[in-house]
Amino acid sequence: MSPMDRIPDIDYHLELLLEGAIDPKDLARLESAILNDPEVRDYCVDYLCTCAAVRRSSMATGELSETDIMAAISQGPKGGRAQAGRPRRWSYAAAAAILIGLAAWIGWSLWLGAPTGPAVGTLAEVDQAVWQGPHSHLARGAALHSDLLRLREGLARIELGQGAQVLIQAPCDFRLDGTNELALVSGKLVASVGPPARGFVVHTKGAVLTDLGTEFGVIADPKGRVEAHVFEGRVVLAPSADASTQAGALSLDAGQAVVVDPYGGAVRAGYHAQTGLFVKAMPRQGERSCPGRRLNLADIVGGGNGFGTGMPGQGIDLVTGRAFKRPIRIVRQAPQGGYTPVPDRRYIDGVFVPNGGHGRVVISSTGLAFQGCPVTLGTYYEGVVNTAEQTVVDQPDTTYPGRLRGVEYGTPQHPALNIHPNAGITFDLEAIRTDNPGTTIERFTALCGISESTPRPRSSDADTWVLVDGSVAFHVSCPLDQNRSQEVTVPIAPGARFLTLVTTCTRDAGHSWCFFGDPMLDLAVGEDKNNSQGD
Amino acid sequence: MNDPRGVVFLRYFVRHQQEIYACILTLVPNLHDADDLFQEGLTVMWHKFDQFAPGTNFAAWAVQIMRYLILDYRRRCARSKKVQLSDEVLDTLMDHMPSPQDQMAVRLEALKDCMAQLDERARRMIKVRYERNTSVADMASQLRISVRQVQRTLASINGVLLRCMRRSLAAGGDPL
Repeated sequence: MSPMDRIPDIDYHLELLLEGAIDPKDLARLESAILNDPEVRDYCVDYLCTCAAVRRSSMATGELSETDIMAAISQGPKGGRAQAGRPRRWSYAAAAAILIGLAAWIGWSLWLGAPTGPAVGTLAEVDQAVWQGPHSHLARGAALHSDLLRLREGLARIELGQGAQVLIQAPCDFRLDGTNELALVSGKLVASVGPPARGFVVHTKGAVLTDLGTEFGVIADPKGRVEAHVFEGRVVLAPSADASTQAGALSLDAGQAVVVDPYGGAVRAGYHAQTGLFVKAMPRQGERSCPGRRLNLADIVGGGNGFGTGMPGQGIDLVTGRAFKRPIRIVRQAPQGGYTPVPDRRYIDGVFVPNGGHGRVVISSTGLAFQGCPVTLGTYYEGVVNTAEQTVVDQPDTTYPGRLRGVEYGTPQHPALNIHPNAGITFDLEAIRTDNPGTTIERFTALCGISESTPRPRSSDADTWVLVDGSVAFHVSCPLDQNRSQEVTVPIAPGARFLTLVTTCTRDAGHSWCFFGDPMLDLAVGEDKNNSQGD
Repeated sequence: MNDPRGVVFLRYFVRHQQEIYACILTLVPNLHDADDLFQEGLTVMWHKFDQFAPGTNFAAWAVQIMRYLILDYRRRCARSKKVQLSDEVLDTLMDHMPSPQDQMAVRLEALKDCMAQLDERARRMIKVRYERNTSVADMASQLRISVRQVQRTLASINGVLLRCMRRSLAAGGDPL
C-alpha cells in the first residue's frame, strides 16, 4: 500500500500545509501517519524537498550577495545580530516584487512570449552597436532578460531594473543576472550606480565587485584577469570564491585600481584609476572610432582609450615624454639620441626625435632600432599632438586647420595625429590587445601627407615612415615642391608588439606640417571558444 | 575587508549558501520569510563562527543552527495562529532530510528533466506560482477558477514532479 493509498489526497494536504491552509483534522491525520509510517514520512520529506527544489530553481529566490554578507558580518563577531543588511534585502524584495508583479500583469496571457523570465533591464541607448547570436536584432528600448548578450561592435548603455546604468564597450560578452547583478564574461564596462541601486554586483571569472554607491570600470578576460578602476565612491572586490585563491576581499576608494591575475587570483593593488581607459559617455555625433571596429591612435595621444575619450589639442613632448596642451610655439633641439618612455599613456611605449646622425635610433623600450633612419638636424616642433591644426611661431593668436584632399581633419569625423618633423612615436599593440579582450588588430590605416593649408612654404623635403616591430612597412617622401598625400595600409600580424610612426626632414623642418588623417587601427573581434560558453 | 577570519567565513558561506538556503526552503515555504531567516542565520553563524571546527562540514554545522532558528520562527508563527506541524513531527522530518551536500544540486538536475516532461499548462502554473511568486489567490482570480482548484492543480503537479524525481534519483540519472 502506497502513501497515497494510506492518505488519500496526500499531495493536496501537503500543498495546503505549505500554504498554511490545512484543515486541523487533516493535519492531525497527516502527523499521525508521519510519526507511525516510515513510508508516509519519507514521502512527505520528498514532497517538501521537491517543492523546495522547484522554488529554488525559480528566479524569485536568491542568494545573499557578498555585499550583504559583508555588511552583516562587518558588525563584528560580538556585535550581536546585524540588522544593517535586512532593510536593503527587503528593498530588493520589494523591487523584485514590483517587477514580478508587473511581468505577471502584462505577461499573464503572454507566457509563451517570455521564454527567458522577466525583463531585468532595458537597452537605453546604442551607438554603432552590432550584436551577435540570437539577439542580433536588439535595438534601443528593448527589454533585456537574463541571457548571454554578445556585443561585437559599438557601445550600448543598459539600465537595470534597480536603476544601475552600465555602459558596455564592444567586444563584450555579458549576462544580466537580475535587476541589480551582471556577469561580465569578457570585455569592458563602466557602471554608474545611484543610491537606489547600491549593492549592484558585477561577477567575473576572477573576482566579484560590489558597488557601494559609486562609478567604476571593469575589464575582464575569459581567463580570469580582471582590472577594476574606481572613479567615485567605493567598491568591494572579492576574489573568486574558489578555495584555491589566497587573496582576501578589499575595499577600493575613488582613484584606486587593482588587477586580479588569472589562474592564481593574486590581487595587485596600489594602482591609480585611469578614467581614460573607459568610454564613460556615449560618443559625440559622427565619432569615427568604434569599439570592436576602429581604434583612433590620435585619441590615444590625447589621453584617451582610442574611442573618443581623449582631449583634442593634447600632445606628448618628445624629450620629456610628458603630456602638454597646445600651443607651444618653440623649435627645440633634442639631446643626442635617446628614447623616452611615456608612463602616463598606457598604449604609448615611448617617443623620440629621430636622427640617424647620432648612431643607432632606438624606437622601443625593448631596444628595437630604426635601421636606415636618415640624418636630421635633431630638432622638433611641439611633438605628437591630437590635432591637425597648425601654428606659426610668430603668430600667437592664429591657427590654421589641417587639410588633405580638400577634407578638413582634426574633427570627430576625421581625427588627425600631427607629427611635425622630426618626431617618432611607438604604440604598444600588446597593451591595446590586453585592454580590449577578444579583439585582434588587423591593420593600420590612414591618409598621411603635408597639409594643403600650410601657411608658409616649407624649407625641406619631408619623409613619413611606418614601422612594425622595427621593420619599415611604409615610407613616402614628400618633395619640397609637392604637398603630396598618400593612403597608408599596413597589415599588423597577430604577434606584432610595436607600431612606430616617424617623420623626418634632412634640413630645416620649418612649416613641414606632416600629419596622419584618420589614423586608425582596424579591429576584428575573434571568436574565443571560452567566450561562447557563458561564464 | 582586512579581517582574515571574515574572509574565511565569507568563503565558507558563499560556497555553501545554496545548501543552507535549500534547507530553509524545505521547511519555510514562504520566500520572504525564508529570505529573512537566511539573513538571520548568517548573522548567528558569524557570531558563532569561533565554535566551528575548521575541516569539518560547514554546511552541516550551518544547518544545525538553522534548525533552531526555524523552530523559533515557527513559535512566532504559532502566535499568529497559523496551522503548522507540531515540533515533534517537524523534528522527525528534519531528522530524515537528506544531508545538505547531497540534496540540492542532484535534485535540481533531476528537476530540470522532470519539468521538461510536464505539459505546457503545468509548466506555466509552476512558473507563475514560484518564479513570479504570484499568490494562489491572485492566480485563482486571474484564471477565474477557485483557490481550491489552483491548490489542487499545484498539488497534482508537485506530486507528478515528486514521483518523476523519485524514479530519476532511484535510476541514478534520467527520469524513467
